[in-house]
Amino acid sequence: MKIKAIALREFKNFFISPLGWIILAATQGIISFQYIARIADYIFDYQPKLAKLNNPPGVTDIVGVYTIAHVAELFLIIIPIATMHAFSSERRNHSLTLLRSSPISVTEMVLGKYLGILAFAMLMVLQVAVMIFTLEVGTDLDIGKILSGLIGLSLVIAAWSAAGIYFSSLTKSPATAAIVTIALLMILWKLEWGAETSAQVAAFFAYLSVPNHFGPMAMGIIQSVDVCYFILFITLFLILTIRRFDAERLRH
Amino acid sequence: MDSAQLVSATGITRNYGNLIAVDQIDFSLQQGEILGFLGPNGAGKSTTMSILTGNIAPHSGSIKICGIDLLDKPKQAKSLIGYLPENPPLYPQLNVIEYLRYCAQLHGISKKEITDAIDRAIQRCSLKDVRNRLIGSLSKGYQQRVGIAQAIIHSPRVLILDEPTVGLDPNQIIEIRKLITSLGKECGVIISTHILPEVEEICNRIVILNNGRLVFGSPLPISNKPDVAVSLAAPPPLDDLSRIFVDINVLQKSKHQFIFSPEFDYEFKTRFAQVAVKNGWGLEELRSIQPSLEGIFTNYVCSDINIESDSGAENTGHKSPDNHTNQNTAEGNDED
Repeated sequence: MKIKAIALREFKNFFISPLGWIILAATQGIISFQYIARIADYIFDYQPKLAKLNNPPGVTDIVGVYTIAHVAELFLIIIPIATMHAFSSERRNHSLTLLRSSPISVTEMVLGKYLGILAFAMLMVLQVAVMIFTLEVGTDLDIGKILSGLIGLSLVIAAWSAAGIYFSSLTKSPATAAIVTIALLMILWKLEWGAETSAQVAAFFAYLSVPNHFGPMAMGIIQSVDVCYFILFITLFLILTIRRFDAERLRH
Repeated sequence: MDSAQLVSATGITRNYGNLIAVDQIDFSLQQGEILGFLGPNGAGKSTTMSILTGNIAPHSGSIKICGIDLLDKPKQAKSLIGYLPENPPLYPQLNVIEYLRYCAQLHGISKKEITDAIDRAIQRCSLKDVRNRLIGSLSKGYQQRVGIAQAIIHSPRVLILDEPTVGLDPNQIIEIRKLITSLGKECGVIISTHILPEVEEICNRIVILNNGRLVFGSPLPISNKPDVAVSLAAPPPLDDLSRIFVDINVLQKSKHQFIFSPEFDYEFKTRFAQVAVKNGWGLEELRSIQPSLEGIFTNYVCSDINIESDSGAENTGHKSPDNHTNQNTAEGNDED
């Protein structure tokens, strides 16, 4: 009940200030541009070539999968901006005391915030979904494949939001929280760069790397190992956040 | 257990690194009491309040709120406390009603009762005219009231207010004080401040903190037991005076000046005037002198400057010199 109240408050906060609207508008603008460019490519460039092939990839792969896979990179920056205010603004406003003095546990507080932000982030997945499904008007999509990609995208966004919340719990400054989060997410995104050193390191980096887990889902393959990766990612950062607040109470 | 012991704190200690912010503090709060926390900046008032409200944990000691241990059952204990921190925890982007609704939800007030609770808090804190305005656009005084409304929304048994009148104009201060006094009738209140007259006006009891230690605790008003200074042109011997006013301590300050400590004998001044006129002592002056809180405060807090020693001699004639710690500083403070 209290978790719901906190989550709802957090969700509504996005729309009280221009921030939420701007994030949604910017996301929509960028992904639409990318999407239309890709469709134009498909019509004028790919289609004539595909016609010569025996078993050509369809529009699902060329537009749908491509859009989902590339949109993820955009969220590397959008998600940290959406999460940066979560706790840091409360600190700055001194309003964190309200939550800390209320009869709620730290876990409830963190989960409430997380779910509120997640709800907002899912609106962006919805934007992507609606846009891709407009193709359904003119052609037949491989719905299963698209859904798998969207589930993958949702998991990526959920994981990144958890990381964003953690960094926002560390500081009073939303900008600092955003930059640190972006840095971490970028590193995890580009981790295969470091994978060339040795086989063991490569395997380790490959496991940590986000694209290695998101990639298969975008291609329509949902594996439990990938789902587990994201669930572990989320759990880790939520627990870190909870511990951070517990430690603050004790040590300050 | 419910017997009116709202807060009992024993041996609270809290360090920040090597700095001991709060050192072995004990105190309690009874039903219907307004307890004032006095002390200079950095004395540990705010830290103590943060500990009492579960914002930070003490390193040792125990706190019971209406018999419930704050450290063992934080949720139950916290639901009995209303807290206004030094900086009111407001959301400037919300309007007053939205904000109070959120606070009520955090306290787990059920849907049915929420509207009533909000109405009650708004009425108590006279926020009716601004209830639909954004908190960020309200004046400091109104913001402070919203902060208090937030603290009382769940009808707490204990209300903890950290410097509730700081930064307000005199009118607002008077209103907030009135509000606190009226709230004090329903629940136990702890307020911290370094404004001494404020404490004298609204508190029933004070504790003085200095360097994290509790250095003084006493019921108020101390000023309800004013001493009476008299000047007589033709004074009788001191022994005569003691004989006539049995049970009242008297102290001769100079040949013509005496100080009486009538305690709660409010009729004393009238009685003395009549006796003086009848006996032809030549009454020149008759006035109350308040043993002021300021005197006590400076005495306990500025121990480095120590002004205690030079008042010792004159205090000997008093019944309870520990309550009237420093007559020197008190003298002539308030005229009746």
